[in-house]
Parts: sequence; structure tokens; C-alpha cells
Amino acid sequence: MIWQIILGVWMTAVILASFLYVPPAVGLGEMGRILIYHVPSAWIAVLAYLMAMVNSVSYLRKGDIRLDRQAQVNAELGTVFCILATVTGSIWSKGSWGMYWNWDPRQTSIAVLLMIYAAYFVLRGSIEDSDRRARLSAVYAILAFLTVPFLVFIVPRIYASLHPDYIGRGKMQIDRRMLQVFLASLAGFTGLYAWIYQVQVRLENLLYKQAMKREA
Amino acid sequence: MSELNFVLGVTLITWLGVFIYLFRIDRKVKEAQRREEI
Repeated sequence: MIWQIILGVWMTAVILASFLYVPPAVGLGEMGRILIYHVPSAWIAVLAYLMAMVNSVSYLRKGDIRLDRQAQVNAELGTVFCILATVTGSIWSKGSWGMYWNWDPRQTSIAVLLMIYAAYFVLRGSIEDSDRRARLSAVYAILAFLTVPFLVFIVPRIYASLHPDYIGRGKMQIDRRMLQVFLASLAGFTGLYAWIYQVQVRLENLLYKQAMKREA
Repeated sequence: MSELNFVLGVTLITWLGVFIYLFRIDRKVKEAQRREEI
């Protein structure tokens, strides 16, 4: 319980600091504050998809059905945060470029990524047998993650994009205070992910046990 | 619309999204607990 309280206080402080402490970003003005929510959402999406892949590899090696449920939870969390990154990114796009959606390489690649993971859930929902579902989903989750670095990091840097970039061309200058709050937000989102993941895995395990009891 | 409104929109959507997701988990927990009682 203490960790949840610390997390709540931490994220409240991040929200307040994003408005009261962080100065407008050079070149982006007030819109630069969106970075504090948008980038951590995208980071959690990539992290959760990576963990779904790791769980899937472990499932195929060990055959433990709990790993399949962990992969499912991670894929679900990845998709939730990917949707949040997409929506917050499109609001940023409206404020900066005048349109919510303009098929920028970054927007197109994230839409493709969402469709790839939507297919993962369709696949899971279409197979009755739990062992077969777990096996096929694990293979699909591994293949799906192979597209993540390509769609998130490579495609938007190959094609001309309006999206601000830290690594490649058009680097942003970041204020020290902005960096502090940004890193605090990144840590807070990672804590939030760890907490939700843990709760949801416990829940999925309970639901599985109940389903097994009913079948017996 | 001022730039700060966009920032406010992003803040609200992020936390609303997380809240809805937590609400969904909470509903599933309650359902599981109800089944345990039965």
C-alpha cells in the first residue's frame, strides 16, 4: 500500500511540476510540456511489448501457462499505453501542425503497430484450446515484437517527419528543469506499469484457477 | 485554442485512460470475488 501512496504523490507532483515548474520549451513553446506524458506512454508501450516477447519466449521454452498469461497482460498494457501515446501525439500534432492526423511517418508507423497488436488479441480470442492458443500467441508475439524497433525507431527516421527527434536530425534543446520532470515522469510511469502489471497478473491467475475449478 | 489547453487535454486524456483501465481491472476483481463467494 505504501508504494501505491508514494506513486500517487509522485505522479501528482509530476503533474503540478509540468505546469508550474517547467518553462516553455525552446522551439515548441507550451506544447513542449506534452513531452512529459507522451514520451513515457510510448516508452511503457515499447517496454510492455518487449516483456510480452520475453514472456512468450519463456513460455515456448518452459511450457508454463502462467507465462502465457503474463505475455497477454503485457501485450494488453502495451496496447493501452500505445493508444495513449497515439492520442496524446495527435493532440500535440493538432497544436503544432494544425491537424490531428496527417499520416506523418511516426503516426503511420504507430497505427500499423496498433493493428499488429490488435491482431494478437483477435488471434487469442479465436482459439478455444488453451495450449494451442498459448503456443500460437507466443509465436505471434515474438514476430510482432520484431516489427517494434523497425516501426518505432527506424521508419520515422528514414522518411522526412515533422516529429521532434532526440537522436537523429532536428535535435531538440531540452531545459534542465524539463529534463528533471521528464525523468521523474518516466520513473513514475514505469512504477505505474509495474503496479498495474502485478495486479492484473494476480487477477488473471485467479480467473484461471476459477475457470479450472468450474471445469473440474 | 491556447497551447496550454492542448497540454491540459493531453494530461486529462492520459489520466482518464489510465483510470478507465484501472476501473476495468477493478470490475474484473469484483466479478472474481463474487464468483469466489458463490
